[in-house]
Amino acid sequence: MNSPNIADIYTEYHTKVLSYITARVNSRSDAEDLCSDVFEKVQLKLSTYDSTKAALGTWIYSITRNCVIDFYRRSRPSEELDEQLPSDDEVDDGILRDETLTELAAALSTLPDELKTIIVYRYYDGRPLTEIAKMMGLSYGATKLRHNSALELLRRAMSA
Amino acid sequence: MEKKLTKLFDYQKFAGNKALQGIIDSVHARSGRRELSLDEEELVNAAGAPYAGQTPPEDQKKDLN
Repeated sequence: MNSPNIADIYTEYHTKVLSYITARVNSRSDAEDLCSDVFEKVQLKLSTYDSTKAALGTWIYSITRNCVIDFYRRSRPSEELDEQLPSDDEVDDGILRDETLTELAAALSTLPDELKTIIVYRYYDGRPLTEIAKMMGLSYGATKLRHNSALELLRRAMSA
Repeated sequence: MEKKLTKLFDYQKFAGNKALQGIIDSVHARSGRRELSLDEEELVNAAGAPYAGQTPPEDQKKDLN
């Protein structure tokens, strides 16, 4: 896609945007409204998109993420934001690429099932270690130790 | 590493990398836990009956007759 146009962008990214929003909000109607908001913003900002600074997918992800954050601030101002949502300054430092996700999958596949489970529960599901401990029938201390082991193994696998 | 994993798993919910999603799905399948889609959530009634949308076991015999 040399000069992205909104129709092509919608076709390519609609499912990804909706999947991300659906994982974050509980209401279908809110998810669909937010999805529309995202593509309105994409269209408004498309002229400012700089392909030398971020891949198109990463740029659209950033807009999507910010729409979800704004939604929570508007609708639930008293609630704390999901701690799993990366902050603005953390969104893109070049690691948000499909290749990095594939690398993470390869690293995860080297872990024993128990450690893999802790990582998925903690970082994909967003569960605290206390909840993971109960789910896995382990003490909090044992879970934390296994979590730290998993992190170290992943660190080594992804730096190799 | 924790921040990196937070970023990557959040991005996964957008990007849907197949290799990584396969691992996530297998973890959820092993533990019997899976996020319901919005369509599936609409089928779960207020009592949380696990067979929402299907014939309850106690009524299945009646259906056969």
